[in-house]
Amino acid sequence: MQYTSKLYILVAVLFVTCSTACQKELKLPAIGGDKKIVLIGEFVAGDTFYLRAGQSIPVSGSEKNGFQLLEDLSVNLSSGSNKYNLNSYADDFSSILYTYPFSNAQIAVAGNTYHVEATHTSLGTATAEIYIPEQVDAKVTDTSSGRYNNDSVIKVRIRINDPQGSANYYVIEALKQKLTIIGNDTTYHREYSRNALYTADKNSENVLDNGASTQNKRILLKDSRFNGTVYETDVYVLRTVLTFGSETLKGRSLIRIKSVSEPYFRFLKAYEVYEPAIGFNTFEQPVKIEGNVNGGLGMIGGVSQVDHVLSYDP
Amino acid sequence: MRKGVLVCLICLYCVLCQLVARAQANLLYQKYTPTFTEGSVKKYIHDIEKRSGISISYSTSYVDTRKKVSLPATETTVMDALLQVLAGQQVALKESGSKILIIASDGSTTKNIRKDRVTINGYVKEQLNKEVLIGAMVYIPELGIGTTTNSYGYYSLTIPADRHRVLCSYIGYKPDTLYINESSEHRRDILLSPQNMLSEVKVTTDKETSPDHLQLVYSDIKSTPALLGENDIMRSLQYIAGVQGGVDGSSSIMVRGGDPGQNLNLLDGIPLYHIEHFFGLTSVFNSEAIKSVDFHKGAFPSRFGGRLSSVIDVNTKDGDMQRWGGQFTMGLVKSSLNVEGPVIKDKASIMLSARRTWLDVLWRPFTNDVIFNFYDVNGKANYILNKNNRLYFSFYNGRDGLGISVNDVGFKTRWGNTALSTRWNTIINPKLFLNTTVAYTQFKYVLEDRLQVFENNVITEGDAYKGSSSIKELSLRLHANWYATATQRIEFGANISVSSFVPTDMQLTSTGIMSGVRPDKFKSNEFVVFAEDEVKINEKWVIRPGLHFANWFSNRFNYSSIQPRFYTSYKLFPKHSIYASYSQMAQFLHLISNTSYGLPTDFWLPSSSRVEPEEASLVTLGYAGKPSKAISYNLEGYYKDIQNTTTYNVGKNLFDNTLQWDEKIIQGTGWSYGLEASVKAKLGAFTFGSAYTWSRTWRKFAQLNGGKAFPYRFDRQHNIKATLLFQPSEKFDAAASWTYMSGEAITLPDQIYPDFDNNLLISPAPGVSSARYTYNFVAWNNYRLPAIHRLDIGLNFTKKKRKYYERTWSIGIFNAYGRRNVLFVELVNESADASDASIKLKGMSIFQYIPYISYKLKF
Repeated sequence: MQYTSKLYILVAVLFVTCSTACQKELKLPAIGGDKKIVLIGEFVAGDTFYLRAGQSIPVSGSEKNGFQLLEDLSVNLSSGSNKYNLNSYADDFSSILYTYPFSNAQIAVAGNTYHVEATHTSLGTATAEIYIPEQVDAKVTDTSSGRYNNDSVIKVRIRINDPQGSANYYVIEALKQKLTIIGNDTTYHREYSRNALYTADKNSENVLDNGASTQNKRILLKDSRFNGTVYETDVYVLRTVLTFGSETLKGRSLIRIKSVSEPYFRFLKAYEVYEPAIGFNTFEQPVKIEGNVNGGLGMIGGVSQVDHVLSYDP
Repeated sequence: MRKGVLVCLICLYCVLCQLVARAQANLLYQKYTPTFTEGSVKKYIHDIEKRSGISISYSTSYVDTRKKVSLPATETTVMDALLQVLAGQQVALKESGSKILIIASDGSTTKNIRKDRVTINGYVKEQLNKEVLIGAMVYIPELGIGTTTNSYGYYSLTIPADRHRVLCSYIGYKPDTLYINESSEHRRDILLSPQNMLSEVKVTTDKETSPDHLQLVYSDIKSTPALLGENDIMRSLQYIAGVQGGVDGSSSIMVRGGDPGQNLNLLDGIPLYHIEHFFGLTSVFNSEAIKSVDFHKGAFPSRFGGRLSSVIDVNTKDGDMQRWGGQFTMGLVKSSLNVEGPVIKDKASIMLSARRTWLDVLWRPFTNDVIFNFYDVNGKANYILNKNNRLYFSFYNGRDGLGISVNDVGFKTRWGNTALSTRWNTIINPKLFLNTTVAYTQFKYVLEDRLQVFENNVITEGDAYKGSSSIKELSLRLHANWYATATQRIEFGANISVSSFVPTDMQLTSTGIMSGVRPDKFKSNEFVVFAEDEVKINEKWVIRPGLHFANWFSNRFNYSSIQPRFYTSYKLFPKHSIYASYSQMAQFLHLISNTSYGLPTDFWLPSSSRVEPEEASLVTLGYAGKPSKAISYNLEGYYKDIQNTTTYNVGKNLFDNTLQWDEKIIQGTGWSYGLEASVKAKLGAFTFGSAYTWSRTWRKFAQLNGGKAFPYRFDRQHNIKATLLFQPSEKFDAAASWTYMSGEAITLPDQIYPDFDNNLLISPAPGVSSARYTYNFVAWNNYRLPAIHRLDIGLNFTKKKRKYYERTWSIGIFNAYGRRNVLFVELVNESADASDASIKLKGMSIFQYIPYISYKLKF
């Protein structure tokens, strides 16, 4: 219920219909400086290294609005004395997202810190430090159908065995993963649709920031309120049927429980209140999202995760 | 720190009181030792003045100053010395404030009659309609003492018993002179008759009173060219130094780095909350119902509290005591009717004033789907019980409506204030005036939203939501003026109120109560006491210490605030004075707004256990001069410190019903400083006024901008206002006003980069495109919009018809040279080929070349 938005829209309509209303182009100062390297991804314990890289658009009157692919970027990965090169290639999304994937067949190890260095002849160097938390000890213990906030939901009970002492940050997501079934072969893709979640957990950042009636992208929990205990929390997944629009393309619903690094948690907390579809205008309160890429923009999160496949009758 | 300041101020005040008391009580008994034994009367008088510091007034027409006298060089009192020096002359001694007067006596010998004093008192009224005049000056030139009428037109002056000439003056009225003597009636109501228009002076700072506040009268408001011809108080206030408007065209004001919610808007002493109609086109104050407006932007009198930045004290007309009459106005947007007259001649009168938009009436025959209107009604009745008692009844009700409905789907919202009050003026004794007010005020906002879900052209779901937010307040207020002496006036009083708040309440009306957070309804009480002492230490120096104590309490919280106030002025030369003030203010209610458009989405919220009262300290230093009768100027500097200023947390609005209201608000600090200069000159038929303000305003919130300070959105460094009024005759006048304001500060992203979730290959839902960006913000309010400036021109053609009828045609143009002043901006992509389009920042601009015409009939 975006009541304020409706009023703003009405005000805007009235303004627009005013016969003398007009738009005026304003000079944009070059407050953005130069283009920057953008690195986005998650390093998941037990998975291969994968990120996407591109370039930003500085907010300046001399810049074109459209994103462009960043060619000739070199991305290296190191951990201690081990150094790897991440290989770049084009995929189906490159032309849509204006980013190239970079990957390496090495496996990310929980508890390790990785250093990413991306170098480009004109954009310079961007670096990021990624710590991958120890393997998360969590599981789904129960599911049941119900209603929450007048929505049909699946209640999912999650148990987290939080290790004592260290600070841990947990993220819970509901995703539908794309898969292809051809004959007896099933192929899982690195492509998802998001399913909204509710939580009423007062220890969650979501309830603290947005209350218990807001649909969330991710549920965010800090262990500072339950350090060293076996902690149970409920999330409510909308029973929305997600389709990928093809007979051969199917999906499976996942509850993904992650332990993430502290910088990544802060990034996700800001990203949770950010709505990328709205665009920029001065009616909206700006949201500052800070990533971990020095000399560039974006976020590479460090993650250890477990998945639970959710079965339900839609 | 604050306690220390308070203790210092109290100590300083006590010392000053002692000095004043000594000076006042013992002038004639002060010790004096002559330094010579023989000399002229004049030489001895000078010696007494020099040694005692007492000013002695006399006239050589009845005092022989050349007469040689002798006096032993031994210690004596000032009185004995003067009696000896003036022995044999037909004079008498009197104390008057900090002076000793040597006056002509009807007896044969010199005498001291200092103990005989009388108090003259009464009301100052307009002669034609018996309307009381607020701020009129009552002055005795020979004694150099005077006073001004209070908010009810009452004055009281204690003076030595004798024959005196009393002058009374008020802006726009012919001064009146009356004579009193020891045996005459001391209760004197003074009647002033209006001057013709050409000799009218607009702003009453020209009068020789302290420059601590400004008073506007109806003529100030009607002479300002206005958007769509809507003359408005708030728009007139925008031409005062230190005051700036919000966005272009809005009638909201921001004073010295404050926001619109930090202004105390009083209508006949009752606070109003949402004071804008039609998104700020005009305020809720109907200028045709107004008698005068007192505006305080610093040096706050102790009787005011509850807001940080300014006080707009609006007094409506009492109603003509002599004849029935009124005024009808037809403008482009609304029409209004004002009627007033006697119920019992010279004893009781009423005034009724109503306004309504008529635009929506035009489309009413065709559709009821669009609602866009406002109305307000002001009513006032007063009854003079006897010469010492008077009753007032006031009423205000105003509503704005807005909505769109198509096929039973849409929304409707309405909001407004209702205020009722009864005031009882009583003169307990000539020196003590008491006003008792019982008031009820209410603000309510209601939003109704109806939605339907269609599947295959069949309604599958239908819901109606109703949201509301309201404040109700019932209060009892006592306010006394005690005119202790000619040089000391004490104000004191108390206020107790009970308020009921429903900050947000959202209900699903079709299927029961909506889930989510339950509405938070609660009551709060306020207790206030205040006192203030205005003392004229001598002819040049005035001090006004005061204290305001407020306590807000409920079963959830208990906040107290001690707010010292201090004002002083010193006349360096005649008509040139330097002045300074210190004020602490506190604010229990907070206006939460992202804009200054006067939208109904701006909410008034109380303090709570989580949200603390806002507080401000303000220091001012100024210089006021009037080098000639036609020119006056004023220079003033200020520094303001604000604690617990409020705003929405990132990404929050009040009616999303997901959090308790006070969890969506964050508090921080702010500060503002600036220099203000204003000048006013009158040359023949031309009157020129100009005000310039240089100021900076900052805000700091732990949750925003990485905790670093950033410029306030309305941190406009330069503000220039200029008005030129041409009044060649009573039939025609023309006014032009020019406004310049530095652009407001907005937050622009520095970089745009591909969306995070998109690049994790997570779509928000199936089929959603990837045209999503992340805007990277590095600093808050890092971009300045272009400066706002415009010229407004207005002409009035007036024609008198018969004795009481007068019609006026007003025409004008708002933004005469069509400046495209920006209201809001967005980053846009206008090209179909996004990759080839430049990033463009577009500003929406309206209000260019807006003409107006209005017709007014006075009867």
